[in-house]
Amino acid sequence: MQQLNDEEVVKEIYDEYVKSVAEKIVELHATLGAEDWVPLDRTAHTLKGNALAAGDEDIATLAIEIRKAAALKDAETCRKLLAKIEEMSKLL
Amino acid sequence: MAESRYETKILVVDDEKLVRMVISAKLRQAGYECVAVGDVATALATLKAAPKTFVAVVSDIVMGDIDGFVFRDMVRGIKLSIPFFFLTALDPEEGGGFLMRILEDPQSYYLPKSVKTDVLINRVRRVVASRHIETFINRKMEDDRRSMDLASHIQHSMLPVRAIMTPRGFYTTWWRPMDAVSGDLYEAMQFGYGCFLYVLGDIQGHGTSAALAMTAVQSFLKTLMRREGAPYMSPAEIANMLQRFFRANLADVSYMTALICIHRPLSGDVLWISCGAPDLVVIDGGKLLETNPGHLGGLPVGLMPDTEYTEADVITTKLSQTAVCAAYTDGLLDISQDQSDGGSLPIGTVLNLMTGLSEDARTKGANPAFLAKLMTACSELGYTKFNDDVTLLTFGARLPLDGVYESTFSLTPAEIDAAAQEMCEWCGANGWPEAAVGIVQLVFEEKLMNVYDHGFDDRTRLHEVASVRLVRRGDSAELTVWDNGSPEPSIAVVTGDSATAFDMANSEFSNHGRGRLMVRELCDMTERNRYGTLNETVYHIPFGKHGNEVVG
Repeated sequence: MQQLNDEEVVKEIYDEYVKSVAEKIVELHATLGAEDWVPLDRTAHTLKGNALAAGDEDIATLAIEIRKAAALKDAETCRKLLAKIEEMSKLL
Repeated sequence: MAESRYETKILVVDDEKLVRMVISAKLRQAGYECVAVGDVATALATLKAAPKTFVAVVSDIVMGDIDGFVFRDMVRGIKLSIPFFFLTALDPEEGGGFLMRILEDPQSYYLPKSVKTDVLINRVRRVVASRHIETFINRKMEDDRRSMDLASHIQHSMLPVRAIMTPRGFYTTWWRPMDAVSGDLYEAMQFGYGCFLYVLGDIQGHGTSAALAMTAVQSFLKTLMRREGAPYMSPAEIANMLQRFFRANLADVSYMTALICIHRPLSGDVLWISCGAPDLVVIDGGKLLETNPGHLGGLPVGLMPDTEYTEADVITTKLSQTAVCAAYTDGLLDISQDQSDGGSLPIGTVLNLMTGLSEDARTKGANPAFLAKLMTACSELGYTKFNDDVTLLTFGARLPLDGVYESTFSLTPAEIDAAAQEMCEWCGANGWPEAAVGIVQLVFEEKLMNVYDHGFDDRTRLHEVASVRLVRRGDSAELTVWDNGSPEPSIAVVTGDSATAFDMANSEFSNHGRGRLMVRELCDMTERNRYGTLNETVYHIPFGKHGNEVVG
């Protein structure tokens, strides 16, 4: 949210970002559990977009890695990356 | 802040609320008003409701319902050239060719979702500013076009009617500006016993300055012609009056070539002077007459301060009853062929065409179509690119043709009615069956009132004339009408019988508000031709039977 001057707006966007990350983590768990790779990729892509829009490059990078692992149908790597995203979300 | 004189609303489309919030906040910070929606259907409805209020669209590519590129195509159908920013988390290195798809459209731009606020604002501002400049230029051009349209109409309204036919003589004209307005002019005035004074002028150059000078000269000529005794001035005296007007009002601005003619049908001559203009062309019996063997004439009007035209510059050309005179501005010889290496229209070609067509016009009573057919013939030879204003004038003595009725009249209900009465009297005097005269009159009035009602807008109708020719061909009549109205819809009949064609015609003409059912019922056949802006309609009207074949 760099360069936005209105603190109230920044707060609203931040709250929405925290909420959206939590929602995407739930969706990632569900699709990964079912090894449903296409929706998993789609959710990771959305998470990446939201993170980039919010300026959170760490979570965006992890979302990109999940998409790469999903393309290889590598469930183990996906789980590890998802765990890291969960840890980071707790710091938001 | 974005400029307030122009719309500043931006449509943001993304199925993620967070992205909508972030982008809208960034754009609002730069002074833009944002309408943010989460799906394509709502976005389209928003844009359709007020397409002119939006200056840009910012849209995601990968959305739940419709792909961003499909959305762009839909937007192009509503507001063709609105700038379209694709905001995406897709990485160009991931492939998929999305960058190429963005670049397929010249008004589409790429923005990554990670775009920094200042970068987003700068890009949007730059594109929108360029759109505002484009809008400004378009509005200015539209204003200019309206002004030129009005100027063109004012010029048109200052010219005499396009054609006249009197018991002693006739003239027809063809006037076409290179752009909207013209530096060419013509004036025609009837005086004495069937005499006519004609002035054909060509102001140096073309475009707005020449057009302004043209209106000044045309006004001066009208004033001059209304002075007592003015029509009886010689061509040299009129040229001197024009010279003094030019030197007093337009000196150092422009000059004009002019051909000034006084046609006296009763004495069978034309007195004329060329002030730097092409010589008068006289055609008689299919041959060109040599009109100016001594190369008489003077300099263009207003070119030099001390020019004085004298009676020695005036030429008297004897004319037979069948002779046709033609005058043109030199823009005629500046019409070139459309291909890049195409030359200009040669004078020899023009004179050959004039000679052939004038013979046809004189012997068949087709004078009103002479110039339009001449210009169509030039265009059929490939000379279609006008590089200057062009004006043509043709005149001559009235040549009564046995069994042919001819008339030219203003397009007003009263004049149409008077022309119909005159035509019926002529038919009666020539022994036509009474019932047949009634049928011809019906067709005549139906056609001419149709042209009056549908052929022109209110302002151009005032200056328009129509011409007719009526000939008996055994037990039927051939009625030819020439008018400059908008062309009638033509019904192409590919297959089927005449009844089917008739039904199609009825349906089509009804759709155009030109229900000419009666004409179709009364005529065997209708032919329609168009020569430039001149419509030629020929009705074949049987005296006894009612067919309805349609050709067109």
